[in-house]
Amino acid sequence: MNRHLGEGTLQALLDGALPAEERTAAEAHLAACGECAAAARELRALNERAASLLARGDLPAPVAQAQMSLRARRARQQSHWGDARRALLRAAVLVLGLAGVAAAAVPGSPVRAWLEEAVLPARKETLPPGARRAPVPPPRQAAPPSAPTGISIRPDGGAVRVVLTRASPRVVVTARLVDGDRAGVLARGQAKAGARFRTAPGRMEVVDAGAGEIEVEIPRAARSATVVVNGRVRVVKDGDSLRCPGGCQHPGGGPAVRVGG
Amino acid sequence: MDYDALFRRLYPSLFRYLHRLTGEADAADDIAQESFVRLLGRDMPEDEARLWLFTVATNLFRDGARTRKRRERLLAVRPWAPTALPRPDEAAERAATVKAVRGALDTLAERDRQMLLMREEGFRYDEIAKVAGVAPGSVGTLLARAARRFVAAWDNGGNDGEQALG
Repeated sequence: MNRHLGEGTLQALLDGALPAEERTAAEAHLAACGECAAAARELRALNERAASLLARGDLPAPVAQAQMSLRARRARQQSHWGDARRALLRAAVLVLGLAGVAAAAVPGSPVRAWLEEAVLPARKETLPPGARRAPVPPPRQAAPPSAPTGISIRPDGGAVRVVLTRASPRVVVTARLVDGDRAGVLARGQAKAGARFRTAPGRMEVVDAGAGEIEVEIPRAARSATVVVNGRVRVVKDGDSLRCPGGCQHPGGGPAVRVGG
Repeated sequence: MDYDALFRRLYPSLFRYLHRLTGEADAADDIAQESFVRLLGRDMPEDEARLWLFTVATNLFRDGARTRKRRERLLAVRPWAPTALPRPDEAAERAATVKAVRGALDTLAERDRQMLLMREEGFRYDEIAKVAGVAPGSVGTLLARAARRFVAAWDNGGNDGEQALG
């Protein structure tokens, strides 16, 4: 063989890395070539020395200690992963909850409708046993007809004057003669709402009477009596009777004056 | 794959490789464990797992080495000098030996150092070529050159008195 073996081939031969066919050829060459055989011996010695030098600083591998440490590390990792999963779950629940609250706060949203129709009635029905139910107010009953409010005076010197100011245009004023010695004004229904009463000698005033009925009682014995509504004289006592300067109706016992016409 | 059994079989070799590569037992252990942690959940034959572990460990070391070198450049650390031997006690002597081996290895290119150490751990040429990123046909040549440079660096570093080390 004319060609000497290269260092790479020699190294591969020493390391057992040559394919079978190449190894056979290389070994045959070494057997016939003293120069290559010497190079192979030198390279083997170099490799052995390198291996020897490298091994000098070696430490025994701390297998048991490393294995314990690795197990702890794996456990920590799994724990961290578990913590992370739990944190993600909590965050997801929080986000969904906030989204639900936000949706429930929007009037007309499906979530709000569902809450009103399904959840809130159900909660009312599923009160835990023993729990005290909040007192429920009794159903509101129709209010009985309220007693009229009003004032009364004695005519001053035989004269009495009834004055309504800022009365509602829908108020109805009814005047009638009575046998007593006192004149009076009664407000019924909405007429008494907001109405204020004032008195002075021989004078009664109703301020801010609402829509409703104002009943005026004039003693028959009074020498004179007038009813003034919003600045207009509407009823006058004339002798033993009552008359309406602007016209009035007479339903029953006395003239009735509708302020608004 | 029995993970614990695999660890017991492969860890010593990986630790030795990394200890030679880093010169630090703690760093070698850290990198080896990190590599095994990353192996978790991967199902592969033992031969494949072994090569995978060494590849990952080498990359981890390489990433750490880049950071270290950058720091050393900034600190203007003086070049490696062979440690004076021998030391009086065994621990100091071992530490000095490790440092000397490490210093000689540092004179090699990173790829050559890695190939030499992988060969010492019994990897095949095709495996070494794969991790080092070289052609399989060039592995023999590169290994011979690496071994020659390593021994020369040792001798040139004043460590020719091998009897003193052993």
